[in-house]
Amino acid sequence: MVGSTYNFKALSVLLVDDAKPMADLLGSILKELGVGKITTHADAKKSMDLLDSIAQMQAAGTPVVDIVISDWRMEPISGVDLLKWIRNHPSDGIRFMPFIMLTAYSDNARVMAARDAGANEVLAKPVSVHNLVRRLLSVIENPRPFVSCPTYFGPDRRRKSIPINFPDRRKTSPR
Amino acid sequence: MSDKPQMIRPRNTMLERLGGRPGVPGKIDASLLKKAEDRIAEVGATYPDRVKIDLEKLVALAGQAASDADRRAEAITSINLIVHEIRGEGATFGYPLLTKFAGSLFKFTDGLTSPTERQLALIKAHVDAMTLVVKSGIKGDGGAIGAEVDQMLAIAIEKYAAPHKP
Repeated sequence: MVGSTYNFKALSVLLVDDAKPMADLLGSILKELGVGKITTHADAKKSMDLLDSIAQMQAAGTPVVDIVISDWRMEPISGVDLLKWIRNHPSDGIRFMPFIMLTAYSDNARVMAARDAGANEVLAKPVSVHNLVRRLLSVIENPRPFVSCPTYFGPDRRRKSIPINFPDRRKTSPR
Repeated sequence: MSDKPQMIRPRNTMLERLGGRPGVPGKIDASLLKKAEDRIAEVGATYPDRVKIDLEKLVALAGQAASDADRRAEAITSINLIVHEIRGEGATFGYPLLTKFAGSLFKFTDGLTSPTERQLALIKAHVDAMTLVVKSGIKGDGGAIGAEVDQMLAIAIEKYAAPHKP
């Protein structure tokens, strides 16, 4: 079956990066792809304030942020701090928000750390249109279910179905 | 939060709003992808002017690290922050050698607090190499000039990073 062509006009992206060249570049790429609303912050505190206000207004049906793209290394609040704050937010509309972590760290340990903090996707620099689009389509087309347990809340970290030789203790509930 | 592990499937409203269908991979207009690629090239054209400001800061910070023992650690932390950004930006904007040198300096300065004279010289060699890449407009692998700069830095690393022989 042939898929339809996406219209990103209805997409709202929150971009958080304190490095202006990268923030400008990502904003430009998203704009060229037709993303309808791009909000850019250099300080993650502003993003937290925005998401808090969105959480309060959500009941009134106001437009929400669909996807957060944030750089990892920022001062004073890092991308991981922002991600953890989102995943611990009392509002479901915020804590389930897709989060793409942008990073120049390429080592596997850092990628695992981003996943363990609850990132949906990790976008490693150098950035290309292809890589960004792949991450966007992943969260749009194949959103992973969330796992909630005392030690973790975030997208299922297992991308592959690996057979296990013990009963799966997780219960599935639709939202 | 329940103590029992739970699998939750959040409602996906994005797919429908953007014109997609569940289970059917959608497409992105090829002309938009081309425009986005062109945009990277456009922004890349202004990158040398932008990164020159960071390189000037690095020159000043390397000088501060060499001359001011009291502010040495602070200067190296600032160098580490700046080169972390540059290593992510360089290759994005067509300067992979800049990313390579910035990445090398990032690793070298990560957690470095009390550098020796030789280590300070190595920091300066990195900054000089990065400045040369931008000043000479060395894009891609830089061909023969790129290989020469790469070799120069490799020699400096071997010279200054090797254990000091009395």
